[in-house]
Amino acid sequence: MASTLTSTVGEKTCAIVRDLQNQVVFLGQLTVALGQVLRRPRQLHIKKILQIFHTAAVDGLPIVGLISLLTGLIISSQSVGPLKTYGADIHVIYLVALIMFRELSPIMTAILLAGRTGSAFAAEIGTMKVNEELDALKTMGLDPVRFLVVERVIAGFWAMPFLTIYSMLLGVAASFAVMLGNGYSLSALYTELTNYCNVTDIMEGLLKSFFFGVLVTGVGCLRGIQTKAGAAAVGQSTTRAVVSSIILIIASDCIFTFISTTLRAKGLPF
Amino acid sequence: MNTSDQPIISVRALTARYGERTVLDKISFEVKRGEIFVILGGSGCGKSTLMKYMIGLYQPAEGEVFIDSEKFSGTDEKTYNRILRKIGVMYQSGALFGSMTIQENVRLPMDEYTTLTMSAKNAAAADKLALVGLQDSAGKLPSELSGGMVKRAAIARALSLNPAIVFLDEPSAGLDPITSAGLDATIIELSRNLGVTFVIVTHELASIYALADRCIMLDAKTKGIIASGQPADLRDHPPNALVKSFFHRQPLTDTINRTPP
Ligand SMILES: Nc1ncnc2c1ncn2[C@@H]1O[C@H](COP(=O)(O)OP(=O)(O)OP(=O)(O)O)[C@@H](O)[C@H]1O
Ligand SMILES: [Mg+2]
Repeated sequence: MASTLTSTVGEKTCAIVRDLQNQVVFLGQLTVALGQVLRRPRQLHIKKILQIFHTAAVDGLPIVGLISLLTGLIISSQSVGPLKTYGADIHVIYLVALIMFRELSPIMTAILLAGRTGSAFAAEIGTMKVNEELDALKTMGLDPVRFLVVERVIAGFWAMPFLTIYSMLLGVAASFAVMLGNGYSLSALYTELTNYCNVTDIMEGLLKSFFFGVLVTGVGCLRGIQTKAGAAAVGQSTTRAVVSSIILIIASDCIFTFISTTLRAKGLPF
Repeated sequence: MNTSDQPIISVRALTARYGERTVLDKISFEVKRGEIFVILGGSGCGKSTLMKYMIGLYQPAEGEVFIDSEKFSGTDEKTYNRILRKIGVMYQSGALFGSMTIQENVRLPMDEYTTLTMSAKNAAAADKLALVGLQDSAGKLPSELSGGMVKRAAIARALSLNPAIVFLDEPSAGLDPITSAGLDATIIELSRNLGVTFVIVTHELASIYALADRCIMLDAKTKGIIASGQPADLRDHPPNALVKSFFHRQPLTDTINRTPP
């Protein structure tokens, strides 16, 4: 019994280490492919990038908008009461703006991108794998990473900040709406926002969003490439794409937040 | 070095594995320049797997593959890519790229490897498509074609760069007898006129007799080559019951004689 437990733990650990290894190798391949493309940008299919950007970003606006509005509304309406007991209810704007700018907008948008776009990439590339198309690319001497991944990751790199800014706007707008309903004037709210929040808060969120964009689309493509044989394997790949993305988003967000908090504590303009 | 009596492909003691499972065990054979070489065997015996090892997609656990007297398995990337240019492959599933039209699929290798003008490439692609009778479907997407048409388009793509060796995995599966016979004629023509070497996986007896200069038969039980030679010889003097049943389209009644030659 004990031996099966230890061997199970051992096997699982090995699997995780091997997966990490694969991710590092993939990151290397992706960097090489990106480098090649940057040296010869004519190889890039701009039309394809725009097309992917459109489905990832523009078509994603409604769902990102909906969730962001909802989050802004919920935080504002629930925190007005508690803050009012101190006469500080105007600071709801400050609260919501900080939360959205620094954390929730990039995180929620990245998770939505993982569900909408990362999973779609995993399914598309996974189906190609099952259909021997990746093999065909290799025997034509074409690198699947350069041919399939680079354009998707570039599109994701721009889609994430685009969606994140939209999410920030709608989250704060929702908060404004709640406070207008509570009798504050638009100019008072605006003064509150500009007094307490500054551009670095937005920059922090945007910086994360670029990173998450590459992360989510890269993981989606990697899981697609790793697809095993059979149609069920494509389903597993999409699941793995979303789950790994979410774990990596949370893990890297912790690191980001740790760094920015440390910098702020040292008095650096962050 | 490339004298014509030297084999163009040489497989030496190749062992093929998927994880722990051995599919082919230490098989060796040679393909001569310009011949039409056919790989036979029951479903699931490892024909497609063998082909994937021969085209360098998988690295053999043991054994080697030589193409044009150059080591193809486990070689450095530059040599590998240079040898790749000599071969064209049609996969069992066709493996056309779904987001591209048939014409773009056939043109893709040319886009990557030649400096021809667009009109020259389009003309060359149209030629290849005409060869397999698909000139009228050039603008269609693979999803708009029938299974047999996908196969033919994939053959056209395999021929795109005028390769010296063409690998075809079940080219005539899913084709009607007329198209299938037309395809056989095309293959023979390319082989006789241009000296293209063909390695073909097929079950079609009619195709085998029409095409094969030589064939080998694989067997899942022994994980090896159970017979090799000219198809007419194998039909008339089968070395064992399995070969006999295969060439005479009979069900396998006794399995006692299923020993390798
Ligand atoms: N990707 C893979 N992973 C694990 N096992 C595989 C894989 N591909 C094939 N196999 C196994 O290897 C064996 C040989 O498969 P292969 O596709 O080479 O057969 P085949 O001779 O081409 O059959 P068919 O005539 O049906 O195409 C089969 O038993 C199959 O289950
Ligand atoms: Mg097969």
